[in-house]
Amino acid sequence: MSKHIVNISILFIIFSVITPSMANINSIKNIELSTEDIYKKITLTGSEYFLVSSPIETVVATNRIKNFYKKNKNRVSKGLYTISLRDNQDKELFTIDIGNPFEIHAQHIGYEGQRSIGANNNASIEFYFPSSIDPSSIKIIKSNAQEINNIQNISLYK
Amino acid sequence: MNDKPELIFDSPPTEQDLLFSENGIVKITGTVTDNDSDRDLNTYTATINYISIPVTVVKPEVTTMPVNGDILDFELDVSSIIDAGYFPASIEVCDADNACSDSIFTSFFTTNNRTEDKYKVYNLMGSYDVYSDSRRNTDMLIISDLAEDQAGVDEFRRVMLKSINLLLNSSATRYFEGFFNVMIVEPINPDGSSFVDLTADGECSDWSDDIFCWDNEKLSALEELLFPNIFPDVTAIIPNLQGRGVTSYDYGRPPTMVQGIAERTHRTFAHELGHAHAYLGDEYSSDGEREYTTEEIKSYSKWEVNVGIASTPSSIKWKHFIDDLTMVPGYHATAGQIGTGLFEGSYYSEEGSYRPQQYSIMGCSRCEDETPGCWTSTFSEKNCSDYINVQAEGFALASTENLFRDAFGDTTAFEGDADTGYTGLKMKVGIVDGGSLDITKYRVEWYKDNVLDSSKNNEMEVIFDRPIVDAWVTYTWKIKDTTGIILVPDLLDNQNDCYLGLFDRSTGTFNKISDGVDYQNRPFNFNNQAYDSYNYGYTDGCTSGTLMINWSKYQ
Repeated sequence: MSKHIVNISILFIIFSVITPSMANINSIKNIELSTEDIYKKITLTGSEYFLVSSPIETVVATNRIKNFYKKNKNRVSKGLYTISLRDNQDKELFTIDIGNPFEIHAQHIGYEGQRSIGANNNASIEFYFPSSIDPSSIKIIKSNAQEINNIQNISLYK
Repeated sequence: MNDKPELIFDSPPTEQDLLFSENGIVKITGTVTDNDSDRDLNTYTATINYISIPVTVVKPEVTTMPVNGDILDFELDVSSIIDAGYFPASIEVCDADNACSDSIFTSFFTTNNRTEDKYKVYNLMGSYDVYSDSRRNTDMLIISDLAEDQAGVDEFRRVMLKSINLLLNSSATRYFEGFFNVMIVEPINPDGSSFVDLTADGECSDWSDDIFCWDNEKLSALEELLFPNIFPDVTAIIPNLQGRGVTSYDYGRPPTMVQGIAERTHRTFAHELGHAHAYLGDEYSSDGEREYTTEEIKSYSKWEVNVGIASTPSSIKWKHFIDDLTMVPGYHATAGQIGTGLFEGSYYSEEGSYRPQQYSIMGCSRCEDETPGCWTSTFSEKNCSDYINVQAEGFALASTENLFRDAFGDTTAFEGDADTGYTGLKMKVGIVDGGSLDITKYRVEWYKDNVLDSSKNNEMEVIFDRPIVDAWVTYTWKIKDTTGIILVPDLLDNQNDCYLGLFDRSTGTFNKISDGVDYQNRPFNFNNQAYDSYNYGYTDGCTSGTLMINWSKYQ
């Protein structure tokens, strides 16, 4: 059971890099990002409207990282927000659905009448992408039903 | 007449106890009585979770033995048990004339008890790293933090077990037990310090002064140190600290739930797990503390099983749970308030959003007319301590999805080869490596071009013959729930029949002859010329996976 949102760019790039044409072999492959051995990593911290990016870091894929992608490959990630990595021509290279990290759910029972879903102004968004990708900027996109709102542009320092 | 020997355990373990093995042995003491047989000739056999295990009986050195009885230590050899869990254990005692009786207790048998750095770690349910032949694939960590002494750890265990027992006794239990690996982390030397700099001062928020805050980097490092081979699906912390519970969804981390030790912890634990695992939204009234726009309600509720915006019963996404669409609780004035129907109001709004039942564990407000009324423990325990049917289905779909993650299994391949010609397709259900089909909960169906092939029922791997005509053919496995918890349809030609597409993939992945992949939206039109350039494709439904083969490309 996979999910509504598909990281098309991710899959396309990975597949292009690692998988030959299947017509001549006796197998059928499901493409998985978790087959990568080296990733690049970025951590964004802050609020919905003001995020700060870490420098791009190259990391060896641990089992934790591989399993993260394996588990999220087909996962509904409460898909309100998407990260789009862009090149210097603003062309999309890679997308990741990040759910909704900008809200915190607080205990309601015993706190009736008080806010129980509030802003997470210290959100942490840690994500990995194939080392072959060389992004120049990040867009944070919020999906409101049919409408896509571009919330932030973040330039990356290399 | 020969009397049966009888065994009575001295202090039989219960659902409030944890059993740890030492050198593979769990010891329990009991007294065996028999009025008319030589007890030294008795024989003993044991089972745990209905599986036979070795048992050794030792007569301890005690000064006083009861009349007509022996106090005995029973050493249960649990070394072969991989999956931990809440299991029944039985010891049968038989005398020389084969007159027998059973004594049974049920408790938590832990496994993989180990220490690492400053942590004591064990499996409460399922396993980590070494798996049985029925691998579970939803991983939950529960961490004790800030305990000042062993009494603090014991208090953590009491609350933690109460939370687990609520789930085991809930409507979702059949999709909790057997699906979740639950691993526990405790301090070896509790001294009141925090593993993750946990506080309850709201310093991480500008809208609460007592929500829990913690250091995510330290928490991730702890997870990686103790469980390097998994990425948990949920991490829960139960600290010995009063504060306001919270769940965060930082990307790159598991959903993280923190609840302090309190009378209500078990209910908030299950409520937050509803968010983190089962795609459940909040049903209680926000009391006006926040206003959502119509667009926001539509957008947020799209990702939730139990909150919707359709204002008519026939259109709501849980309509398959409504018994009579002409007499709907909460909707038709004469239908009353009991049962699954259409009740206006959720956290997002009092008007224009809907929930399935009046009260549930995901919402326990709007009870002004009730006695004793909202917010009392009595009311909540009675009305809001379990998942209702819609929520249990969301839980079950999520657990199923975690076990069957792929469109097809890893042994899927063509029969034959390029030299001699491809003669067919071997296809495996897209179950996780090491997973097995629990036939008490599921059955498997196979479809060719959306037509059921009942001859292949319940097969995990099947072979389809090559079609006579070299054209596109679709092959589908579908998991069917047999417990009655999952009622939502998964029609292969309808991607929106299961919670408006929440659990379906809206596209297919198509392998291009020239390398790379394309993505096509459903429904797939194989007559379209674009499909001539693909070898095969795949997609997923709510509880199904489909592989599409362009046989003209495989001669």
